[in-house]
Amino acid sequence: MQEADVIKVFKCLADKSRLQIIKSLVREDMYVEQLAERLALTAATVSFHLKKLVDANIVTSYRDQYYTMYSLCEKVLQKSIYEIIREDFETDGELERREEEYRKKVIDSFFEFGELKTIPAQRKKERIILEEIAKAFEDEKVYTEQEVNQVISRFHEDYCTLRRDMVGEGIMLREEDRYWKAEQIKGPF
Amino acid sequence: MDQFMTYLEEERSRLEAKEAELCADGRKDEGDIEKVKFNVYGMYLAIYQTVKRQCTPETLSDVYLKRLEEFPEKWEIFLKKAEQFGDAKRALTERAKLETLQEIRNRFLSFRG
Repeated sequence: MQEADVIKVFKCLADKSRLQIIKSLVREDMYVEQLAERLALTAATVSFHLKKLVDANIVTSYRDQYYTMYSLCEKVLQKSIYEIIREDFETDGELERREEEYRKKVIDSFFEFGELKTIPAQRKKERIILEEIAKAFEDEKVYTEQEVNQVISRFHEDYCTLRRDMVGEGIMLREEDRYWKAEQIKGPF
Repeated sequence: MDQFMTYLEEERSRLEAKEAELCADGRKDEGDIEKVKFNVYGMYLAIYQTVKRQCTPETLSDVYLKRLEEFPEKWEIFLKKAEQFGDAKRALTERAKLETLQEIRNRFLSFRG
């Protein structure tokens, strides 16, 4: 298990409602409304807790005719706390993993519902944002400036700054009024 | 109408106590939702106090009702987006805001008569 996964599991278990859900699922698989009634919680609250449990791989779901049923993933829960603590956390790719976590944190901070809330002031963070926006462009396609602006404006109204910075960072290349993603094609000219 | 202000203040106290109780009981996530409701009551209490200062008794009711309509549309949009993007906590938060506002509105109308 990764260290982050272990922390996720313990954080997940450190909630009384989630523990009660787990105890209920030990007895039998259940659906949201069943759990809500048993635990005197709203269905929305139960769904929220189940999502956290699913993310921590403590619970899984499956479809059963009319309902989405939830059941325990016994693999994680069968390990003792001592076994989990004793384990050497996997260290291969640690640096890449940290960088990916940092990247995800920046994206989660600056994007909301697929739109950019604000352009980061810090260059490193802005680069991550620009790379994320660049995913909206097709590889090996040459765009007009207007097309570029249309794509970027789906993320943020200041498409001028973002377009300029994408070129400045070498994420997009430009020749006169034509643009394309870097490292894909040599250019139209 | 002072009864309405008393109601808002009492609900805030109740929600504050409930949040503390849930956190002490190891249910911080649910406590956070009570805090959201507490904040909504706080917001509409502040708005009510302002409207009361600025309006006559005759116009207060209509002006306050209008102020109650200012935010729900935004919260509904955020709720839809949160559900669309699978953000369970955000969906729970926005739903709590909308339900709390509905309670406040219904109670205000019942006091108004």
